[in-house]
Amino acid sequence: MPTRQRQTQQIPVDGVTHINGEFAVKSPSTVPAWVTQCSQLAPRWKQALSRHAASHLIRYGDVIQLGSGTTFNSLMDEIVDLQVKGKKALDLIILTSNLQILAKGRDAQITDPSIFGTMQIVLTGGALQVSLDSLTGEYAAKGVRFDFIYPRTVFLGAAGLSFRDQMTITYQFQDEISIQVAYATRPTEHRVILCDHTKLGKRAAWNAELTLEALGNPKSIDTTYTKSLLAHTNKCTIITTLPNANDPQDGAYVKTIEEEEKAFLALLEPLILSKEYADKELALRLVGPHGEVKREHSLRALRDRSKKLSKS
Amino acid sequence: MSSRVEDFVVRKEVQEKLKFIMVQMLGPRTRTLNQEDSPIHKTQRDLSKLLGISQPETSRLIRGTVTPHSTTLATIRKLYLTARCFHWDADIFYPICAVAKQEIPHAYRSGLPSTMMQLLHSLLEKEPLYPIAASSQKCEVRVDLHVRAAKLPVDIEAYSFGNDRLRPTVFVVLVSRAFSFDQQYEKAWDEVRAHVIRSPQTGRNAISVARPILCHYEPTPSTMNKRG
Repeated sequence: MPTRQRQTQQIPVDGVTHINGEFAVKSPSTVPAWVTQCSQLAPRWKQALSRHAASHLIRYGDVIQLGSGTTFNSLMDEIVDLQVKGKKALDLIILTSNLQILAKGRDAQITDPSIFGTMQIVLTGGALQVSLDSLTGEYAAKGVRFDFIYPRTVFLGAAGLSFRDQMTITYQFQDEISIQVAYATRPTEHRVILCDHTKLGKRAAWNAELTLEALGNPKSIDTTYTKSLLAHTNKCTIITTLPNANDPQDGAYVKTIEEEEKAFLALLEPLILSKEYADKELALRLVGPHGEVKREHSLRALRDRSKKLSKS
Repeated sequence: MSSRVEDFVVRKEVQEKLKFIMVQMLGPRTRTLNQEDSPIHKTQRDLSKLLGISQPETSRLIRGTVTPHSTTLATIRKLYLTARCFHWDADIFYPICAVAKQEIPHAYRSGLPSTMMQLLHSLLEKEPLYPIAASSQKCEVRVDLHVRAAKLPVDIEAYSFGNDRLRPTVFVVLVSRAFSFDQQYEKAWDEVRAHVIRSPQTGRNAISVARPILCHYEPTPSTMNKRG
């Protein structure tokens, strides 16, 4: 059992937790409420997302940045599992503000140093957000943006995501907005948003005001540019889950997912012929319960179709 | 090629395919093709029902004395494909997913599953008809895995198929022939880890402990360093 999980489960009645008999902390402050609650929501779909990400988007020697949230705790489990099952070290550099990821990585290093001894986990620094069990605030956001290291892939999450009218990405806590915006805008090769279908279409929470703008001056204070998913990367993939229509628990979500797919395609329409987006790759990928790709909508596919139509 | 030669080729093809269909789909699964005493006559009636033609016509097709009608030929080819799946202990194969090259965008295009299914069908057609070395029942393995190297689309490293959409037990993994043998082996197992061991039927440790499945691994002809 990971250390942090062990710690949070050792809460005695008197409200004091003893860890290894060496020190004691007040238990109410050590329970990450958001993490505890959210880890019980749609766990199999979070696992599907993380299985897909671990096996399709991470390769040997990668430098990856992982955001906060229970989907990324699950992703870290899958990254560890992938290396244990394959008996092969991936020698990853993981940049994160998520303390649960740190704990999972530390546990893996203790359990199997031959595989994980060379895995590097770098924390951003910042203020502790207890409910998220993550570091947040401006200091953490600067740590995410810091150009001392360049991540090949940045993974970020969302509490809600909708494409209707315009793209809306929302988060539960106001103090996490700055760091989430940093993950969403820092320069990288590939930006990946992992968001299971239960969050699709949800708008209620703090709007991070992230956009798909690809234009602008990097030094500009214009917020549409500084909050653009595509301004500092050429490739952005939004990955969500797709349950079967006859799934007793999640089948009801299928209609919402299809509406969001249509809205996503409508958002892409004006970008197809735009020169500013000629080098940009934007895709919405839907994966099944075992992390297999069910379908993908992309700017490239629409562009190719448009070219074919114009030729014919 | 003259029409007489063409007819001869078609008749020979039909003859071979019908025999294979009878053995795989209508006879006991353990019977081999070379058995002289196989009860072919008993299954001709069933075969004619499958083909939707009369028994005498079926008999003439089996003997190779007539050329089939184009619709009958299409049915025979379709049934043959199903029989080929039977040979690998599957009723049918469905596409599962790919491990694609990360640098190339939009590898998971909508046409990919159908392209890959066509590729699997052509591979099944070319597959030699030797008896399967180890069936899943005999080896007490929960899944049956067939790994083959094939010429895949340029952006696809490996692709997997299963015999069921939800709970597959027979898998086919195609790995790109463009890789060297060692890379093929590595990529094939990456694909297995990505899509096969995640299957509900497989369990978390089944693949890593199931040595008999390596019997099904077939390297490309140019690199015959067989493992397992």
